[in-house]
Amino acid sequence: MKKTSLFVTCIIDQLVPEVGVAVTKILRKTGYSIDFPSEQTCCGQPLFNSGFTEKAKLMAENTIKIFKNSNSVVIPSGSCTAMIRNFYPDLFKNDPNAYKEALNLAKKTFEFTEFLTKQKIQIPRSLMNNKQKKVAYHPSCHLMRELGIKQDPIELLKKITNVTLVPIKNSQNCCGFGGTFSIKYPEISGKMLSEKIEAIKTSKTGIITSCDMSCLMHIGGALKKQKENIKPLHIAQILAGEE
Amino acid sequence: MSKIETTKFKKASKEAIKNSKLQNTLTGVMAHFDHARTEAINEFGETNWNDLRERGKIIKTHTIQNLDQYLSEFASNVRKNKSIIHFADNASEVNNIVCEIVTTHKAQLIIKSKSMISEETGLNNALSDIGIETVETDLGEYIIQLADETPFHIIAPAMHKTKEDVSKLFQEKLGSKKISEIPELANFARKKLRNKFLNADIGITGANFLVADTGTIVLVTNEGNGRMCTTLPKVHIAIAGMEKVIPSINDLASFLHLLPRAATGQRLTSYVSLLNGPKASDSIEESEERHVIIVDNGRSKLLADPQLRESLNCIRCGACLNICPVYKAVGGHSYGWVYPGPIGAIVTPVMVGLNKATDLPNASSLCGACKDVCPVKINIPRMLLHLRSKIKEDPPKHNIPNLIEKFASELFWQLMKNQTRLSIAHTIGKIIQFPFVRNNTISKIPFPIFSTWTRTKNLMPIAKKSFHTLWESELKK
Repeated sequence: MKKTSLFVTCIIDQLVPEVGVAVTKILRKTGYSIDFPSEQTCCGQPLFNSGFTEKAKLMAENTIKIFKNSNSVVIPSGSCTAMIRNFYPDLFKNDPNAYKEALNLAKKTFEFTEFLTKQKIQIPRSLMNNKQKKVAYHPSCHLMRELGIKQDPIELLKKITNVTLVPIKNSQNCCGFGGTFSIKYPEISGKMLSEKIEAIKTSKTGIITSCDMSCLMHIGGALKKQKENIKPLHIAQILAGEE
Repeated sequence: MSKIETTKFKKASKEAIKNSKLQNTLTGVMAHFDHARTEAINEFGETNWNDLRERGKIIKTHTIQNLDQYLSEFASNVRKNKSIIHFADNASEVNNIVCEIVTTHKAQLIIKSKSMISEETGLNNALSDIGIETVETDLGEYIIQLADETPFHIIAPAMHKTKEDVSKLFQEKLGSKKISEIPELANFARKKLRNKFLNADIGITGANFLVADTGTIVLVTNEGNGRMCTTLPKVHIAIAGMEKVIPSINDLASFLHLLPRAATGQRLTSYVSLLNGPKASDSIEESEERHVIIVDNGRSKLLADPQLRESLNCIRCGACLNICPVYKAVGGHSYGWVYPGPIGAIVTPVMVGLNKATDLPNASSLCGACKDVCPVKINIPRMLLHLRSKIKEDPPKHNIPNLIEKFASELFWQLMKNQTRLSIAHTIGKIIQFPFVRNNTISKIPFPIFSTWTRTKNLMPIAKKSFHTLWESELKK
């Protein structure tokens, strides 16, 4: 049996564990045994993005240690994958040994839809339900621009028989979350978010999906505040047939 | 140095966002620029474009790594071309050099073509202090000079002004009649400027590129005013940042493809001037005396930091401003100094002092759109992160938001240190959130920071069971 490790991310662990359940379900159904190292917490990106580099390094060291013996690591987040793949090696570039360890993790870490695509995993029909639904896809910034993953999630969604993908205007625009940015600069973030919300509303979609729960938390929070009947679902939840 | 108002970023940006007229203008103009750039790249072919961007990046990176050598080659070729080269360390040195040339020639009237570096040094004020009239001749610059403002955008300085604003300005400052159409406004300005061109003693321009192996100054313009500034007056002074140098005339074509497409979506600008020495004795087409001032003014600080050096690759096209959601929201003046937008958020803090501009690198969602459009592929988000880290090494003292952030980061680290602590935090969090959760959502928390969030967005409550708990209880096999 093929084996992979799951890094579930702190947001999913604490706020939306259903996403982790969906990922587990899909990977198991497609023949993977999953290892979930219980010591995992957060990749350290919130600290890194706020400039607390030394503390971020400590969290990175933790994560690197935890997944040291994994064959591969699957993460249902473009943002956390980008942190590990692009920024961990950068954090340790002045320490050859730590750099090697960071690079070792970076190379075997995959964003969830990227992993499915790279491993040529077909979503089993048994996971799909018959309820027709309109889905709009929000490409998260780090997934698209740090990892360069653009088509993988869309191709996966297209294969789900009961899903109709609807376009959203300027979908490549940021939702304005940016971690602590949304708290430090609420007016700027708010303007970016309101444009995103308008575009989603105009699309007449029933579901908004993305590979990153952080964007969905931001977008979903505004939709809920405005009492819009548009549901935010992580892509893993859609692929696992949730509604 | 020109006036620095970078500490007012937060206040200025809030006001800009509330200004609906400005928001409409920004939306319209930025969409126009972005559309034009996209069209130009589609026509050029995306693969070709990316190959050329890579070439641009390689050339610029190589040049900046060997800047001393290329600057000295450029200087020696400028001298061979019978022009006079000056090196200025800072803003006041630039202004002094110009004032000295002006005094030597007993000049009274100076015409200028667009030069961002003269905005850095506050040159117009320095000249007016010694009683010299300086007239901006780029239409946008002319408008903001009349309005006594600073450029709003690095290539479209007056983009925030509507034609109605300009008409009103011309009536007030130049006594024009009411003009409602743009071509008529341009015509009116052209007539006003014509006299200045013919009577000016000195022309001052910036430079888009300095070619080391030929000593050539390259100017890329659209209005023709740049060419008039370099040919009509007897003396021409070009002022350029030291990063503008490129190794060879053979490299120029790449940048003449990259710059206009990234900037305005043009295949080529209306005018491209390659200036070598002053005029030969039988030519009527050049100035009689040419000066080139190479300026540092903080650039060596960017050069000294390997993480920031790449910012000197910038060819000042403005594409990163046009795509940036933050620039589109707050506009150019909010940034508080000469260079706004993503590239400004890097170079400004280093040039004016990091502690005076802590908002600039922080006010970004790190979406990376700037990196995608940059014609020389500058990794702007990575440099913003580097500056954020540098700010935390020497944070502003007695600053409450900063202390809160420091406390929050320490708390976050303590709670995320290991799984045992995280699971305790999970339990405590659920108890704290209990009074606020209704129907599995939190619509209001009346405490600072959280209340800012819940004003426009509901908050997701902490789940009843974390994934860790679910794994242990149900999923583990």
